[in-house]
Amino acid sequence: MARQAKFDEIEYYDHKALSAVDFRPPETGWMDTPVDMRPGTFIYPAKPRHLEYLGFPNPREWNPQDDDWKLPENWKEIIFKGMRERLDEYRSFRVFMDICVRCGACADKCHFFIGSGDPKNMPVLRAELIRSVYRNDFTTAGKILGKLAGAREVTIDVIKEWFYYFYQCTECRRCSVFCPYGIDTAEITMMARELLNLLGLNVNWIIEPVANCFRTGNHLGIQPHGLKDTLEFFADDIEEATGIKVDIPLNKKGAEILFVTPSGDFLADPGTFTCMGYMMLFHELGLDYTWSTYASEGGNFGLFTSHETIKRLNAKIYAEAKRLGVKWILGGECGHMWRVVNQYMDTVNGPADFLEVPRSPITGTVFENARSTKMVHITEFTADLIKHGKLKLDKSQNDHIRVTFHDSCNPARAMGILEEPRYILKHVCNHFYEMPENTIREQTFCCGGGAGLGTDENMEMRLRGGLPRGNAVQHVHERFGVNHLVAMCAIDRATLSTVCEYWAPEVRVAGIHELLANAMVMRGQKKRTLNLRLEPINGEEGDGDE
Amino acid sequence: MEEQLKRSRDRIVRKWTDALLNTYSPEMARFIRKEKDLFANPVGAAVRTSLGPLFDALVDDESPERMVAHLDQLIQIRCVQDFAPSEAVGFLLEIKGIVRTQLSEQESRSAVRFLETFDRRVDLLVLRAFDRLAMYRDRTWEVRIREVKRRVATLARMSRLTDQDLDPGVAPTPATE
Ligand code: SF4
Ligand code: SF4
Repeated sequence: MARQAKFDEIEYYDHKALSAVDFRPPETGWMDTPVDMRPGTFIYPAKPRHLEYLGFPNPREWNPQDDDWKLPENWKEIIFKGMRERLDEYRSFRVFMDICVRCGACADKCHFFIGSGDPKNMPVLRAELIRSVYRNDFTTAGKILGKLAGAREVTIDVIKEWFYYFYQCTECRRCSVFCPYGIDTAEITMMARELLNLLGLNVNWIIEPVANCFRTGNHLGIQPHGLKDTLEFFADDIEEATGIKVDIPLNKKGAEILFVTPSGDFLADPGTFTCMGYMMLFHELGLDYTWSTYASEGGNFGLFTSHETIKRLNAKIYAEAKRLGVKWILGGECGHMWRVVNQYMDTVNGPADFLEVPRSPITGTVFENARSTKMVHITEFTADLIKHGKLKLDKSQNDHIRVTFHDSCNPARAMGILEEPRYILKHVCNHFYEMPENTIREQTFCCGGGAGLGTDENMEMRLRGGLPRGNAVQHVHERFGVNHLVAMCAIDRATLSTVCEYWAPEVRVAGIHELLANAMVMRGQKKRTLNLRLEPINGEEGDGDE
Repeated sequence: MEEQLKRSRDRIVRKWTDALLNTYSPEMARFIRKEKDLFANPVGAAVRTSLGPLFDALVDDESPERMVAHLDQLIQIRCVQDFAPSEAVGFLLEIKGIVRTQLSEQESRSAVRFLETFDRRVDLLVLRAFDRLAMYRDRTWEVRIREVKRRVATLARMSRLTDQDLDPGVAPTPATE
């Protein structure tokens, strides 16, 4: 049969051809479809100097669009050795390689598949990219049956595919919620990235923050005096809004609490306003706490690199807690930081026996859940304050905004912090609306920029991945007039701002403690007419009543 | 002739949808057909709600602005999917052939006039769709620039580099809105 002409070919406009339309989809096996490195979809490679600083393998300039990725000569050997080591060390890795029955329950649950339609973004197939190699070289069936058993040899093209698709997974774990076997594709992605790192295949958006954090204490490379200036600058803005000069305890030895938050809150809007919110809250409580210029990063991009890197970066927080002699650690609104704290901190660096079980000095509540890690999530801390009536809140200060809440993947799925943020929000604003059920809580949709994907050169990919979230936001905007999306994650505040600008342009992004601070009545404050963004409260009109 | 096409509406729209789905992977095409929930499958929802009304608009000779409004969401989505611009809107042209398959040889001959006008309407639609696509393309760059500015907001404010509000909240709607 003659080939069906396409609309951009002249034959298409032949009358006979016009009448002979046939739309059968072409079927090509996924193993035979190579990746297409199109700008807008992949992330730039790590700069050699950062790899050198960290002592990571194969530092060099290279370009994913070139044929030659300048891999070490014995790259195959490195991969096999790396796989074998990890299969032996992490039981979960071997189990996840073995037990998938390809039932497909996870297939359409990934935001990248939903948004892009690329089958290799189906979690089952994403895992299959590496599982096929596992079968080929680590199972008997695969060795004998080869392709029939879903096995394939590892080639340079396979490695390229790994790089493309494992940096196209935000490790959000939405798929794992639906898997009857509890297979966690995020863990598979982590393993694949560890292997890629062995060949020097990593992305700058992750490796530079890791190197910075190692050197100066935070992802952005803010030095001690820079952090001091920043917090003082925030204090000036707070004073302009409230008339109150908050104090900034920095590296204070013997403080009761060490406060750690993602450095994104220092530099990037709108996280900056959330940071001001923390400062106001602590000032109002008279909390005996301190910032640290050394442990000035709550985030841990080690999570997106390797287990070893998680450990190296996380250790700084404990070391600083010890040096300063604090009793316990309070952590800010961050996402993946809490996955590290909840799932890795204790095993890699704990137990932190030199610290005390966290106890709120204001309410006396003991945070039993943090008995081992000694680190408390700020929404738990603040919700507890509100529950005990320790804060004076004037909700009407937020009356001009209509709020919805985005459950950040890690706090929601890795920690189960679902109620505390909602509890706070309902106490600081009058208009709160949930997004549809299958897009929140455990089923929340990722922002599309987590796990080190939140840079801008891959914007097209991020916007695809952000579609399910953006779609739900736009829905509550149209239905309830929602104009604020609140998220308790620094990556979210950065990436969702962009997702909203594209998919739901009337909605802007804020943090929980920004809204809390705007509603908080501080002792001795002047009449509040400006919010923390120094905009008139309650809209342009400055009308205090609804 | 319009009446006749209206009678075959469902079949035509189904074929047009096939043409559209054919631009996706088979896995995605299956998913779009199967999953009806608006939030689990926003692409499917956009597909389902666009081509039917769009076909009606074409036959009823609605203005190009109104026609393209039915397509807006689909274009916004296809703008960031893995398509060349021509592929993103090209499926619209398939309606020309699909409509012809609904007519017998004889009908086609007598319908030459109608088909000429119909084709011109489709061409207009495609041009408008291309405008929308370009607008959303612009928006992807615009949001990217704004994100990069927000990233260094504190530095910009501290060094008084800018007085500009870095997050005015409402996104740009460049070009033809
Ligand atoms: S962890 Fe998230 S991004 Fe990765 S495959 Fe699963 S759903 Fe997709
Ligand atoms: S849901 Fe679990 S068992 Fe089913 S295909 Fe996905 S990973 Fe495999």
